[in-house]
Amino acid sequence: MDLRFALENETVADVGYQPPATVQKDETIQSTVARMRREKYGCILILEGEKFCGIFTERDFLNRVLGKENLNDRPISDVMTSKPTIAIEDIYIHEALNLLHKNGIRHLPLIDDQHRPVGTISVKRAVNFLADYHPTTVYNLPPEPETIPAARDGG
Amino acid sequence: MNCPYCNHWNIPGADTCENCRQDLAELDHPQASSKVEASMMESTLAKLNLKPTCIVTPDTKVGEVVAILQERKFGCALVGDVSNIVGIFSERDVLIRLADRYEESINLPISEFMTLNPEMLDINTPIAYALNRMSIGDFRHLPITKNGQLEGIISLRAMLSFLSEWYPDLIKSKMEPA
Repeated sequence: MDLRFALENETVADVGYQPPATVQKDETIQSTVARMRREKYGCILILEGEKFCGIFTERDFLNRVLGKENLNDRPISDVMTSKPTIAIEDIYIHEALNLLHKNGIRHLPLIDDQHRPVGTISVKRAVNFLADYHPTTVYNLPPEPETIPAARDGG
Repeated sequence: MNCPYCNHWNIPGADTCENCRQDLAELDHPQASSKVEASMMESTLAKLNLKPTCIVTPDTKVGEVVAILQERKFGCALVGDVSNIVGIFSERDVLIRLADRYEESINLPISEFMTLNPEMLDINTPIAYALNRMSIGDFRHLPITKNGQLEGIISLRAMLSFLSEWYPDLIKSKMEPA
């Protein structure tokens, strides 16, 4: 299938996205960070009850938590980004790429019609998706194409 | 695969046709099937938006490196010197390797926490190859060298940006109003 066709007609739900990692907003910063480390999450979605209310990423950890005093027992909602860019899960791929690209964000949280988080789409997933549409070119290319001899003996 | 000259079936990857001895090696070369692919194979990394980055020496203290990342909003720091990069230290390393022991590590050298010998590519490498490495190798940043000297880094975002230029009607650039 043509990449343009896929961008225009497939939704993020069609290509698959990561299930969300979530914590409640009153969870402490310390335990949230411990969980991110343990499970190797680059970002975690913050819930208020069942509803999505914010996001906390590696970058937020570096810039808002690391080296600051007395933050460990504070709730994660103190350092999360509230009201980040979000999208519904049946958004088209080109719309999702648009949001990632235009807003310069690395993760796009996806929510359902009840405002519950259903997953995230990352720049990494987006780039993999684009790469998968050029399988021959992308995966079969040697680092220096000119080193492939044009003739069998290289002459 | 069938020989295009005599239609004899050969095992995939055969150099010559078993039947007519014609050269089949050429068939294995990746061929671009669209303008985007052609551009990815022909354009080199020089066409991408290389980001400046910071280089610190291996004995720089962890606390100093973290301060640089925080102040200059970099996602990673390279360790070594311009012609010899020995490691990389990224936001991910901050979370995974530093989060639970930052206070006691603040005066330790960054070399104890960095990822050793990051993969680097020359600036004359085709974009398609870099995309492959980032996609398969799970790299978020790829340091780029020119004549053996560090020139900058490319990020996944630069790659997304390059690919989206081919679909300007679908994926708008950051510069245009929404």
